[in-house]
Amino acid sequence: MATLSHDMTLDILRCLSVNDLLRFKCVSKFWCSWIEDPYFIKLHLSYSLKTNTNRSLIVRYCKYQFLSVNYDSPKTTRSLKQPLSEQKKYIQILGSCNGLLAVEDDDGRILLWNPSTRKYQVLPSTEIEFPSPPIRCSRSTYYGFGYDPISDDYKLIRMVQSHGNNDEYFHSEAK
Amino acid sequence: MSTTVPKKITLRTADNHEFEVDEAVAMELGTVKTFFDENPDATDEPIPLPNVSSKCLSTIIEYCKFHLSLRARGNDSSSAEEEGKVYDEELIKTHDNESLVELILAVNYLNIKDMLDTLNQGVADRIKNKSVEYVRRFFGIENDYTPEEEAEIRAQYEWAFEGVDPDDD
Repeated sequence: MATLSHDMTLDILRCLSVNDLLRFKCVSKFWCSWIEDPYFIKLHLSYSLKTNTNRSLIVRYCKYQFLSVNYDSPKTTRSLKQPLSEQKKYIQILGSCNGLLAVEDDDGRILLWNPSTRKYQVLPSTEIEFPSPPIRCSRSTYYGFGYDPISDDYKLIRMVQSHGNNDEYFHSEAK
Repeated sequence: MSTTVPKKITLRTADNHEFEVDEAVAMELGTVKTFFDENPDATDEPIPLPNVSSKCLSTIIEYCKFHLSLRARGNDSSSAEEEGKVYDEELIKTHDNESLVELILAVNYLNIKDMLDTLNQGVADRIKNKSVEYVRRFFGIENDYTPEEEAEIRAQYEWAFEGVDPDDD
């Protein structure tokens, strides 16, 4: 059979689901390197966003398990082990962007989790310093997670609001 | 009152068949359009298409004619869109794996973006949820992994190998 060039093959592969692509890393070493190539990953993401495909709904199923419901074919629902499930850490979802989730565990550790590849990364912890002398106060923490096209990276913003008697402090940090 | 006769353009395929088509149809072929844009004084001689067989070109011309006529209707776009979809599905269905790849090569050479997108999606639909072995056969790819290397990847993404459709060839 006539063979398709690299670019032509990528134009076909970008139409597939992440699940198919992970399996097809086994096709050959070339295919594996093409699928892992950041250029292709971006091509795949932008095509998925453009065509509204590869969308999943992530639902908590039981304590350490989630369900991933495929929007395109709800019949393909997969159970999904959460990161750190073996350590019995309960996690809470802080935000999502382009298929990535920002989650926080019981110990306040923050992770980025890609449920499609099931990979995760623990973010370095950043302490927030409070003005001295320490004031007894209640705190509210807010998170925002999104993609920054200028730095071409994902950013998680944490904002801690301390409520003093009459004073309010704001402090925000970006990863 | 004078009526303008649409200008005709002749295309010659790799196997030496000539196709005379309306200019509007020929302009759907990006490669042909670029040729005329760059050579406005081109003569009426047939344009050689050395990478395209007559079988592929006749399919491509039919596709372009059909989609041109849909676009010309314009205003009832939702029914036109539906008809276009049905036509595209039929086009994929009537091609086996090998002739689909041959058609992709021709359409890529002729630079017809919409048709290429349709065909790429058609191939993706044929290999989605299929086994690694099926995909190797489909694209004529030789497995260059050692059994150990392959087993390692399979173990790493075990869940991606669950519930795969049986090969139908």
